[in-house]
Order: sequence, then C-alpha cells, then structure tokens
Amino acid sequence: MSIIVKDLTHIYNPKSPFETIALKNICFEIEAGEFTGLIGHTGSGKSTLIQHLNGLLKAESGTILINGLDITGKEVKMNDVRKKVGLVFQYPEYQLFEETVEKDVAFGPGNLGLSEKEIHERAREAIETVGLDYEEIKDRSPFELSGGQRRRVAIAGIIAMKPEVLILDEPTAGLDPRGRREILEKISLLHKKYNTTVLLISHSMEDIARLCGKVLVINKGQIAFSGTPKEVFSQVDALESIGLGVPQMTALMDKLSRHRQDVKKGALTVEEAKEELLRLARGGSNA
Amino acid sequence: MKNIIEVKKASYKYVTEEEEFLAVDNVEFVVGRGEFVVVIGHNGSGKSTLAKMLNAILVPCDGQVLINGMDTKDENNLWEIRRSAGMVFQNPDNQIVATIVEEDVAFGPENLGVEPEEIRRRVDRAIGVVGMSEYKRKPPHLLSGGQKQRIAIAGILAMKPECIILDEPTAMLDPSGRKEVIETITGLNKSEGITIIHITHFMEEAVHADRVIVMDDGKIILQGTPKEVFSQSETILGCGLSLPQVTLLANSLKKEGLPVREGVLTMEEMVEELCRLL
Repeated sequence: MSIIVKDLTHIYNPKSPFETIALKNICFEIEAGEFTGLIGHTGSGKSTLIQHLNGLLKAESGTILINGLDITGKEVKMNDVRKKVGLVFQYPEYQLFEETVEKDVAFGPGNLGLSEKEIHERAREAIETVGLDYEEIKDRSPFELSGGQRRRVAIAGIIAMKPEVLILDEPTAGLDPRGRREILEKISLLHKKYNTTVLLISHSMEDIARLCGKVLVINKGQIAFSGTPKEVFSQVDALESIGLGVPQMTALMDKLSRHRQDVKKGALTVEEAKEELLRLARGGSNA
Repeated sequence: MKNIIEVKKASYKYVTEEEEFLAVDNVEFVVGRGEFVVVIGHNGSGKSTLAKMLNAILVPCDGQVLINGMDTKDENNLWEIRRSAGMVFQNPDNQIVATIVEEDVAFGPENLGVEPEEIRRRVDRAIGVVGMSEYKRKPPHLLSGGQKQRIAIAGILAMKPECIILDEPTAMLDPSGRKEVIETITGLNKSEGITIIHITHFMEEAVHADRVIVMDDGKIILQGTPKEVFSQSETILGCGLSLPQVTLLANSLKKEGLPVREGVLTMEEMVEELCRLL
C-alpha cells in the first residue's frame, strides 16, 4: 500500500494560549512495500505524524492518500483504514489487557468479523512471527512475561490484523541488545514475506541505516530532508544541528578522514567500515 | 564514611500465589562516594529490582542494603535514604505529578520542607541544568517523552541528592537528548561529586564509567573497568548483551590480521589507533 501525504498541517489546542503547530505542510510519498525510516528529535512531530496515518488525529489541512484513498475525507470509514494500517505505539505492552496471551493477540482479529478458526489461526501465526513459542506461551498471562516478551505479544496483536502498512513507533525502546536485534529481525522478515509497507521510527541511527531503504528526517514539524540512508547520513552537520546524529561507523570514518584524506566516507555499518579500512590497510588502491 | 552504598549478600524474591521468583540472588558490592557505576544486563536480569533496593522501594528478603550506613529495612531511615539516593525511572510518565513543569520539579524539595526562596533557586538551577528553562511554565503533558525525562531528572536534582540512580533514563531519547542526559549526569558526577548508578542497554554509555557491573539471572557475573568487562566478549554476548560498535570493528579488523591493540572502546581511541596503523 502506498502512502502519499500532501501539505499536512496539525495544530494542537488551536485558538487557545497553548496553541502549538505540531506539523506544517508535510509532504512525502512512500511506495507500496517500501521499508522507510522516520527520524527526528523528541518533540519534532514524529508521533503526531503517524497518528494521522491511521486517522487517530484529524488534520487542520492537507490530504493523506492511502492507496489512493484520501482518509481525511468525511465519508471515509476509519475502521477500514485501521484494518489496513497497523500502528504500534511506543511501549505497546502497556496496552495489553487480556487474561492470556492468545486472547490478547486475538482481540484485534476478533473484531474483524472473521470465523473462530481464522481468528485462532491468525493469533497463532502472529505469535510465531514475533518469535515466541505458541504452545508454550498461549495460555500464560501477558503480565507474567518479561518486558521483551510483552513487547512482542503487543506487536503480535497488530500483526494478527494483517495490516498492509505497519507503522512502529520506537519498537525497541527499553529492550536489551538481543531483544532489539530479534524484534527488528522479525519486522524485517515480515516485510520481506508479505511485502508489508513498513514505517519505522527509531532513535538508533544504526538500526535505521541497516534496515531502511529510505529515510525521512523531520524537524520542527517539517520534513527537513529525505533520501537513501547513504544520502541522508552523509549530512553529518545538518543532522547534528537538528538534534540527530549519524551511525557510529559513519561518525568514525568522518573523524578519520580529517587525518587521512584518502578515506572514503559513507560507511554505515561495522561491515562497511571494516571493508574500507582493510582496503586502506592493504595499500589503499581504489579497487 | 567512604562507601555510599553497601550491598551485603542481598536477595529479593517476587512472590505470587503460584510461584516465587528470585530476581536478585545473593548480590554483594559496594559503591564508593563519587563513583560512576554503570549496570548492564538483559531484560529480566534483575537490574531494575536491584535499583529499587538501593532507595528502599524494595527491601531485601535476605542480606542487607546500606545507604550512607543506613539500613533500608529500618523504616525510620526511609526519608533520609530517599533524599540521599534519588531515583530516575525508565518511564517519565509515571513520575510526573504536577500540572506545570516548575511545580513538578519543586515537588521534591517542597516535601523536604525546604525554604521557598531556596526552592526557587534549586528549581531554576535544576531546570537549567537539563536544558528545559524555556518550558518551565508549560504543562508536562504537552512535552515529548524525552523532554519529560529531563524534567524527571531535574526533579531529583532539586532534592540535592548525594547519589542518583538512573534506570534506563535514555531509553526513549533521541541522539542529542541522550547525549545531553549523559553529559548532564557525567557533569553532576565530575563537578559536584554526585555518585551515579546508571542502568542502561546502550553499551556505548558504559565505556566512560569508572566501573561496569554485568548482571545475569539476578547475579553479578562480571565487574570491572569498561576495558576489563568488554574484553570478555564471549560472556557479554552470551548473556544477551553486545559490545560497543567500535569494539566490534576493532575485533573484526583483528580477525583480518590488522594488529589493533586490545581494549579499544571509544571513537577517539579508534581514530588514534587507525592513524597509527594505516
């Protein structure tokens, strides 16, 4: 599913002393099946923006086309939009409420008018997709699980809706390195398997660089710039001036280039940095 | 008294109707005044439980925890323990109580009975230190997650603690927010001698600590300087953690035959080392 946002503006508490323009003339396009990263400092408008994409907030002005359908239109049934656009909030585990893991994951599909068998099937598949053992975990209370497991159950609840667009607001916040790696692997797998359009918000420039085909940079409610990770992360100074950074390896190579002119900058991952350093160590030819 | 924190063979057990879970298992360590200690460990390894034992939110079922020599089991010590060892939690939404930022920061000192003029000074300074001065009259619910976290830290600072325990304070922050918080707590440690216990999942935040404590299954499995700890890559990776990216790069270059020296943890060290080698 494609997403096209045109001139989107959002104002919190309009016409009051607390009036705050959260989004201003936002324009961008995401093609069906793309894996896009959204970065911006805290308070830049990321969370506000994604709440528009499944109709949780109403825009002051502008249009949002989801697969060609303008969801800001009056006649649009928001239920239909939300079936297609799945939104995983920050700390989604706080929204778990059922007695068992299976019931919690099945809650979403249970509201789609599906058969019992289909609901059950979807819950099982979603639980397995996030890397949990279905038989072992299905009858346990979500509240007795570890933080990382609860996070995955919450994400499974969205995946069970089979959304065509999956939006995740910092899905790895607060997780340990292994938990972080595992969740991102599962999301990446889901993206490849079902061609799901993914929009990932993260403060980890390393994760964004590794996973995304495209990066949108938002600052003060506006899209500052966008492009491939290589293009975006080549703008070291611009990113730092708006409270962001570049992947550590990019920063390392940038620093090194101040001592060695022949260093090719632009490495995003440890692997890429290694390749470039070995090239230099072995005589520095451009081969 | 030299040690601000003494944990003596302390354990903590969560008890539910069906089962008992030993979250902290016979842990023993001391923290010297002015030390900067980072605690790492996977989710569920007992870090947060341990942190809560350090300001008497939880009391050990076995063993003893002493803060400034005061036993956390003695209820008469509660106020003084919580003033000396302030705690910043993971989720700022759970620790904001007032409707205006500066009132929230004033909540702690007000409860300690500090004079109004002194409260004013402390609040202004604390809000300034976390870089939130322009927001001091705003209602906290209009702030973003990261901004709220800085307010929570300011709230602790205003109580003039000797020790601050931070449980993943940067988990929700953007890179500059993270840097700011790290710089703030580093500054508090260096210039005001406040003891810092910093729990984190970001390995890069551990490299500048005086000491790193690694927890797994409720036990301390490793502790030492960052260099010592991160040289044990198998143990670190084995318990669900990772190495700083710079160290990963150094290790993989070493595998390819480049003689990178041991114990490279920071970007500055790596640049220096590469300039020497290339």
